[in-house]
Amino acid sequence: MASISARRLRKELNEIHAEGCPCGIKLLNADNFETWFFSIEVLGESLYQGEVFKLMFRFDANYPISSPAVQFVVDQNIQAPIHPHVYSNGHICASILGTEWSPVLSVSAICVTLQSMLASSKAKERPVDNDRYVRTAPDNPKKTRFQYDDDTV
Amino acid sequence: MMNDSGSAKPPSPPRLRSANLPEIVDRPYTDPEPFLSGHPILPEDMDINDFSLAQLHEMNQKLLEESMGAEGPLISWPEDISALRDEYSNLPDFVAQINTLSNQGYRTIIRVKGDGDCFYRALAFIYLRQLICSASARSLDQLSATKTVLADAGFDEIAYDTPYDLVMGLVKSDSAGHELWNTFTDQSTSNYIVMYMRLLTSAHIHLNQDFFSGFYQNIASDSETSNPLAKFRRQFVEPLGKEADDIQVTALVQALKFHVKIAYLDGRSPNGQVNFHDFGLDAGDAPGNSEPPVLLYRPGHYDILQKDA
Repeated sequence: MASISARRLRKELNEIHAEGCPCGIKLLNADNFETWFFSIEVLGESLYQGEVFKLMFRFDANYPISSPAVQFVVDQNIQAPIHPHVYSNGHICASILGTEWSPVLSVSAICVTLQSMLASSKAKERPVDNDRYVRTAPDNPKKTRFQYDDDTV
Repeated sequence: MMNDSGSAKPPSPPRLRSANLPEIVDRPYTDPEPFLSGHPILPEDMDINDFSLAQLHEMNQKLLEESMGAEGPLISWPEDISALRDEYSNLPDFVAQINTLSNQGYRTIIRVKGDGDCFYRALAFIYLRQLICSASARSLDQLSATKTVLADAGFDEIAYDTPYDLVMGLVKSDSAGHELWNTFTDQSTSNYIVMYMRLLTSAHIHLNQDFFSGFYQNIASDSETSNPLAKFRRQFVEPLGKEADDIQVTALVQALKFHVKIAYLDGRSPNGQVNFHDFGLDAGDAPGNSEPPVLLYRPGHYDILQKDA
């Protein structure tokens, strides 16, 4: 019998195949129940017009009880968006991916939230502590303990 | 906005969505909400004073869990209550209360792991055991009614149908004895049952906001959000590992339409008296012909108490 996390992810995938992703989000790869990739862009007017980013989701066996590890992909072809909550290594500082994760959320819901985080951005800049964080950041953003205090998206 | 530029186009009807915004699938609960962001805590900057109360609470709970040891089962096999008495042998007020329980016929305790989920796990266990034992079509109706609560609260079906199917499968499998215990000791299955109970608790609080906002005032004082109850559900009800307070206990018992007694073992009664509190029995309800199941509460922890072995 498939694990419960796999059963849940299978359902999410079926829903994505049947209903499509939210606008501006495309499923790039979901060959297994461990790592999924999506492309994400902000439609309409925003600071990121015409830019396409790539999101990586990593799931463990406790998904959706535990949150997925979500980050922007950074490699020679693609960069993370320049945004006050996005580090240059692709890690994202957002409480819904940490202390405010709830099993009620889903992969699509996270995509939509991140899209709206980009859409409402007023300044294209990196977080102030970017360089310090990136120097010592763990591979998996879930291993970072974030202090959430800034309520302005 | 009105368009006065002289075009012959009739004004378009009011729309909820602006054409400039991304299409959002109609899911009331999962619509993007503003979330907190901040900065990572780097090891060289760690200082206990920088942590928020919620973070300290979380760290405290982790420590408590670790100190309880990872080796204990999620739910123990029934034990004689004398084992509990032995643990408190140097605390006479507790011993007196345990003796009172024992004299009232409560001879057995089923221990539930103290991992922050003990209330939900204990209640789920006695609730499902009762549903399975009564083995009637009504049991299945009762359980499927809980799914309606989740739907009414606007939860995305994908969030609850996997754990619901699991719980329903369990009730249909008609295995109340050893197999139910096995199910509850399997980490993954057991936690999904807990998750279902938590979602149900959250949904019930959402659907009865007026009633529960009264409970909530003391907890909400530090919150500045526009909907503190929603935030409370997100932070303290839905995630596993967050202990249940009175508000969650009341909500879940109501949502399950269940009746349970909770015995308070607190070492605070000089004559060994034990207070029992009824949950889920309204004044108008006729008490069932059988005695309701009993949870044993020690400050911060729930176990199951029973008369038979």
